[in-house]
Amino acid sequence: MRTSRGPVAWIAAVLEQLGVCGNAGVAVGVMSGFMLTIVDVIEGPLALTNAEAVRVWLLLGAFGWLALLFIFTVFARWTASSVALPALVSSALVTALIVLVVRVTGLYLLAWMIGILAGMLVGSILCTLYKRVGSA
Amino acid sequence: MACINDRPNCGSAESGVVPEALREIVSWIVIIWGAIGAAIAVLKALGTITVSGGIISVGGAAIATGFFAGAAIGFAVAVTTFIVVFLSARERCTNSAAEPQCVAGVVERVVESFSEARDEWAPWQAKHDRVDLIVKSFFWQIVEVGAAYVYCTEAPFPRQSEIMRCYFYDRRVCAAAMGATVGAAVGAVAGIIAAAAIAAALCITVILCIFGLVLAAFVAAAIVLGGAAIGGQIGKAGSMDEDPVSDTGQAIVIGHLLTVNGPMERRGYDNGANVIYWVSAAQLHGTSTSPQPFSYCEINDEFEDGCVRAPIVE
Repeated sequence: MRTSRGPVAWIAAVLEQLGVCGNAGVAVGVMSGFMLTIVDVIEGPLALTNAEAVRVWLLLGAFGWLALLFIFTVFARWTASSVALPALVSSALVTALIVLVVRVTGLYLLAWMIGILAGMLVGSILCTLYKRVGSA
Repeated sequence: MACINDRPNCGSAESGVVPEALREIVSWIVIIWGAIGAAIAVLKALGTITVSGGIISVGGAAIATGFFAGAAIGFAVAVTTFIVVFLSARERCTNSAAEPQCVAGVVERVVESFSEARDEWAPWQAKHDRVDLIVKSFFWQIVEVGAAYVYCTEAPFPRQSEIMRCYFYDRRVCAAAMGATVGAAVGAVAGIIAAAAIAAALCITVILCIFGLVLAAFVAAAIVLGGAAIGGQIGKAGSMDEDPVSDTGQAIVIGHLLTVNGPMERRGYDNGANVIYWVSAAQLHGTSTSPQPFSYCEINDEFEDGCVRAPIVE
């Protein structure tokens, strides 16, 4: 296989360890977190109410789901029907964790990084669960 | 000669768990989105970015906050999409530096470039002409080198045979890929502007702003990919289709007996299988008279191939 070098190779090696669900989780996490970071910068320090937090979660969850469908079907050439449900689960959990963590800690400015970590965590757990269900 | 007792090592082997195309795009998403996010966070923390009355000041330059947010999202989306299109196009049009190998067998299938409908709207992903060769059992050790994924026929043991995918360079694929890259670059500029405009219009409340950024992201991606599709079609239209041919110029068809030479590499786009990419020489030995579906059982003795028999060094 042709290999790349530098940070891309390092990140690709880490992503290889995370499995497909981990990759999906990281992608959703960094993109959704990035949006929260941007909104925090332009709208001043965010302080979401419960209702706002739920609405933000739903919006980011929908965004993450559509983004995953886009990535998997356009770039990775999977079928939409094969990834729709797992992508929805992954997106809903990752974005929920991001919104929860930044709301509790107030670290909206670092939401992009929290998104990566949340994506890795949720993705790894989902991969483990899918493997166990598959082997049962 | 009849079939042999060895089983072909079909399928899995030690190929990667995560498809190369997925890993590549997620890597670039993390790098670009992460880098921009980090830069914005650091600048904000340092006080280089300040916001007041709907205007954001970045190092002295003042712009509307919504426009800034949309431009940031548009930039992240457009650059990520452009890089993936560019790398995909470059990967398709860079000659392999891998060690050359020689295999021989019968042609089971010929897959021409742009044979899939999606290649028309994603021309940067089009593949070169491919000839699937059912190789003689002697060459299984080459097909399996590096514990690679192995494609096989669907026949049951002992007639099941290993297949080597052999790609023939098609100028049209590279012309389309080059056109797609140029189109994506133009689309990236337009995508960033469109994303900025959308967010500028919708960033009124927090919720509406997030909705605007989501919309801006998809619009930016769509414009870049639209540019790539248009550019790819223009590039493709300006180039001639080249069918896979033997060294004597004869078009290769199913049933042809071939000796194929060329660099062999494991490709993520082929499930991590060893493939000849691209064929540098294809010696035609006539047409097989064996019954179809073909199997190595007959092909082993049907013709004298042109490969030099040498031990395989892994």
